[in-house]
Amino acid sequence: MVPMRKLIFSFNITMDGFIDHDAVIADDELHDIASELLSSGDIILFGRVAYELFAGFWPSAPADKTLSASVRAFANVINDMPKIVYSRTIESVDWNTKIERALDPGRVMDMKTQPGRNILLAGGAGVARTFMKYGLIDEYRFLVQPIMLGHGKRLFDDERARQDLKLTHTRVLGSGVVELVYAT
Amino acid sequence: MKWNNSTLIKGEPCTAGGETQATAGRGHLLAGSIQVARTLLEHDLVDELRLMVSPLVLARGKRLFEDGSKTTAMRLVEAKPVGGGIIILTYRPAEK
Repeated sequence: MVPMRKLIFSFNITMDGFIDHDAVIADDELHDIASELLSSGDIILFGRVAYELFAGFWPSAPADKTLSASVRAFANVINDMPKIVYSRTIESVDWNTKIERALDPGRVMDMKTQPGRNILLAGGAGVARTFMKYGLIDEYRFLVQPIMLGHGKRLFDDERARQDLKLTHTRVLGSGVVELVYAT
Repeated sequence: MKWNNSTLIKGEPCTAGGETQATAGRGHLLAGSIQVARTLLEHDLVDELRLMVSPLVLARGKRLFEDGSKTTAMRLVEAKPVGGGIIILTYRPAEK
């Protein structure tokens, strides 16, 4: 039997459990790891806010010579990949993207059973919580940032059933970021 | 207080912690109490933080880190898997 493609949610989280784009040490090594992860997949899923943040930056990044080679390499990988944005309100998209007006768990399950490479969920927190609620995530990749932020948005902020995970891989980056990979 | 070698400190742990920290001796180990830990963190009295990260997402529970405290840059000292899917992350404040 062909193994089902995995739905992987990768995200940066501070060591005290907050999500803040600005607190992330986004060095070359982090971008290399992100490129490697994207290359294991063939589609990226976004909520609207995360999508607009990414779509506002990456399309023009390959031409920006002030960015490092690693960052531009990541830009090329992410720009080429097909994407889905879940949004009731977004009006139009380009950047190789399709709009889905609702997150239908049945459609995601169908996508998972079709042949293909991994499905990558890029955030943000709201859409990720919906994926969690429906049990659609096969793998979490936490990039634990070495900062005690003290305030902000949490990923795990609502009541849910206890879920036991399996730690499958850890990696320490030069910046002190720790990558923790868990299977559900 | 009956337990051998215990000192009862009434009042603010930050003052007392600062005093005992300033005296000669080996490391102080904080064994528990989220409230004491938060107060010591808030007053920069923690030199090293060891987080044991368990492989589960809990429905509810107490949090060590509250929303509304200050930001501190940390330095990762060690990340050590200890079996059972648990990993111990050791941090020190970047300034120390």
